[in-house]
Amino acid sequence: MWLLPILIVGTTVALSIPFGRYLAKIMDGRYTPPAPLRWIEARLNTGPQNWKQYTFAIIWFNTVMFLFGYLVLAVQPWMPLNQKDAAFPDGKGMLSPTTIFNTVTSFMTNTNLQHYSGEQHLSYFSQLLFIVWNMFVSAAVGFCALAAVIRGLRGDAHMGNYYLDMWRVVVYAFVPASILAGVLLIACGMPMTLEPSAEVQTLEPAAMGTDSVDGKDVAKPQVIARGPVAAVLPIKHFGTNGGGFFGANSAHPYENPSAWTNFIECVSILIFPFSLVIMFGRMLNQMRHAVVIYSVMMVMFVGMIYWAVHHDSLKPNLAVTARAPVLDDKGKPFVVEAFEKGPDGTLKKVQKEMPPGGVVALPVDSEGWGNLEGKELRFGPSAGATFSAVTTAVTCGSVNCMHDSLNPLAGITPMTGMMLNCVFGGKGVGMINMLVYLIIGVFLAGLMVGRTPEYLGRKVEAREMKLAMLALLIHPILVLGPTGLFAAMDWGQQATNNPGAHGYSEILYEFTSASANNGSGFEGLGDTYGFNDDKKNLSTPAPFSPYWDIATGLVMLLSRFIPIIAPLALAASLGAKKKTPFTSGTLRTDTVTFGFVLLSVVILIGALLFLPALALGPIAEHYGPIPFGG
Amino acid sequence: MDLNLWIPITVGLGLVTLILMFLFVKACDKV
Repeated sequence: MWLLPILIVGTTVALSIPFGRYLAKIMDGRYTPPAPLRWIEARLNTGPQNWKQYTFAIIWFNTVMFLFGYLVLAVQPWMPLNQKDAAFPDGKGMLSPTTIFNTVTSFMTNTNLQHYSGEQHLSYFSQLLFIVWNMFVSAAVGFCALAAVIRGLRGDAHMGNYYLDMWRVVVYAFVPASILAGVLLIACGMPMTLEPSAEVQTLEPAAMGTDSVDGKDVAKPQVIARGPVAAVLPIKHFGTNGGGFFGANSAHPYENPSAWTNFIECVSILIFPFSLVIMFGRMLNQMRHAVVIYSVMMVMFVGMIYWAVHHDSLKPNLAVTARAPVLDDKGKPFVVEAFEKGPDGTLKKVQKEMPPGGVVALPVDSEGWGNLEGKELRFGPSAGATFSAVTTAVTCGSVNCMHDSLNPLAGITPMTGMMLNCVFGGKGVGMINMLVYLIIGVFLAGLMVGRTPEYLGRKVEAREMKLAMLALLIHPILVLGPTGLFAAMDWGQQATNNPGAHGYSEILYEFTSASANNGSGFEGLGDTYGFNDDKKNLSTPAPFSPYWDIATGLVMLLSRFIPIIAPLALAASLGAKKKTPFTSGTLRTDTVTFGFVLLSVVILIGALLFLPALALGPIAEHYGPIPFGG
Repeated sequence: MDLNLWIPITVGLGLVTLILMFLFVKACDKV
């Protein structure tokens, strides 16, 4: 049960230390590029940029990504590698414009919220040209932003060059890691092919239905989707993207064939966010401070894993233990045959009243079942809960179990990870978000002891606090505002898959995921339109999906760039100040005491902002009646 | 959906939001 999370965390911590050192070398330019790459780097380096130039470069780059991505998806039906099979004899059609908008903004912002199903709606061309390209560069955007912030905090004359940083991250970090992981995943059974979907005749005749050919019924084949999966999966995790090749994401046996691939994928998800904290310390030459930050994040992360595994893998599904009595039409409890263990350990058939919740005692040991709903048992009992904590702490968003099926209290873990968004967080932006909490922490600590707050020897004044608050508050505004709106309107109420508090949780989760640029979902929510031509869709478009497409698209865009722009300005502002000498009165940021201050600030602010929303969702669901409110 | 209506609307929505980000940079400079 606990071996899997311990192995995952332990392996990632061990790898993150040398990898963080390597990343610091790359981003500081302390390497000699091979001759052909040197020529390209010289062309990409348009010169040193201040914070405004760096930020403008980020936004321009993303504007081009938006237009390019929209074009690729819009012309999908006419492009090559649009494989034809029995399910799609003419290949994949054009997605609806709102789905394209949502998909483009989603991948551009590293969210990978998928209001579509990969194998149903995207051709191989779109997967390779749009998805893979976006996965590499969108992941690099946050990474570059962190490097620029570090240079600002260091007081460097400039923040570097965005295009050169982007090149370094993609070519020297993501590409080699993806090649290595891709080879390992193929060796573990992941498909890598450009062949169309496999078509097989089922053993049971016409199990998939029939087609009428020349007046005769002909059995339909089973269509098994496959494709260049191993090209997408490594960067899906290294870049904390999360967008799956298949709709079932890493619960699909081709995306996650075995317990070994599950382990590799979890480590892949965590390695960059963990290493970037080390990189932060190395580049700033403040390793003790980085260790404090790393430790604070680790305490929260381990707590999240423990909470999820305890409430989901060690507690049964709530429906099994629900207290609603099951009565016959005369108002008396049903009497059924059941099995009980006798004193000698053998099973005996007995007559007993049906237990509350309608579950008959089965002839198995029901102790330690955990919540099996929505889980892929081939990974082991705690894999689903562990993955849910991993993927939402670092804003990845891939899933190996259905988060909608988590026990209510266990569902708090993925929501908390996304709401705090600084428990390691996404590569680059997680550390940037923690920087915002750091600034607030030193500010509050400075107020408490009656000294001017300072961070890394530079005074934190009104301008820095305003920028920190802009970066901090945009996230809860974009989570809570749209959640309240959609929960009150038919757009949300008619889209939920469950009534009452669980339905509210689905809405809350969707906007939290969009705002945190995570991309996972309590799926079951009706947010998929699909192809613009309704006749090509295998399932009916959800009636309010355009509202979801547009609302979550806007949330993703705003929540991606505002928490990058404001901290870049903050870092530049701090770096431009004169450094104050270190004295005995300076608030140290590299001590255990400061670690507790930082931890308290994160938890208190997070609780103030989000506990009421959690109380209406998963907490109400846990304490409410079965079926959840109704 | 009518492509002649929704493609311009959705492209425009994305571009307007990104333009707002440029304006936000200027606002952060003035803070």
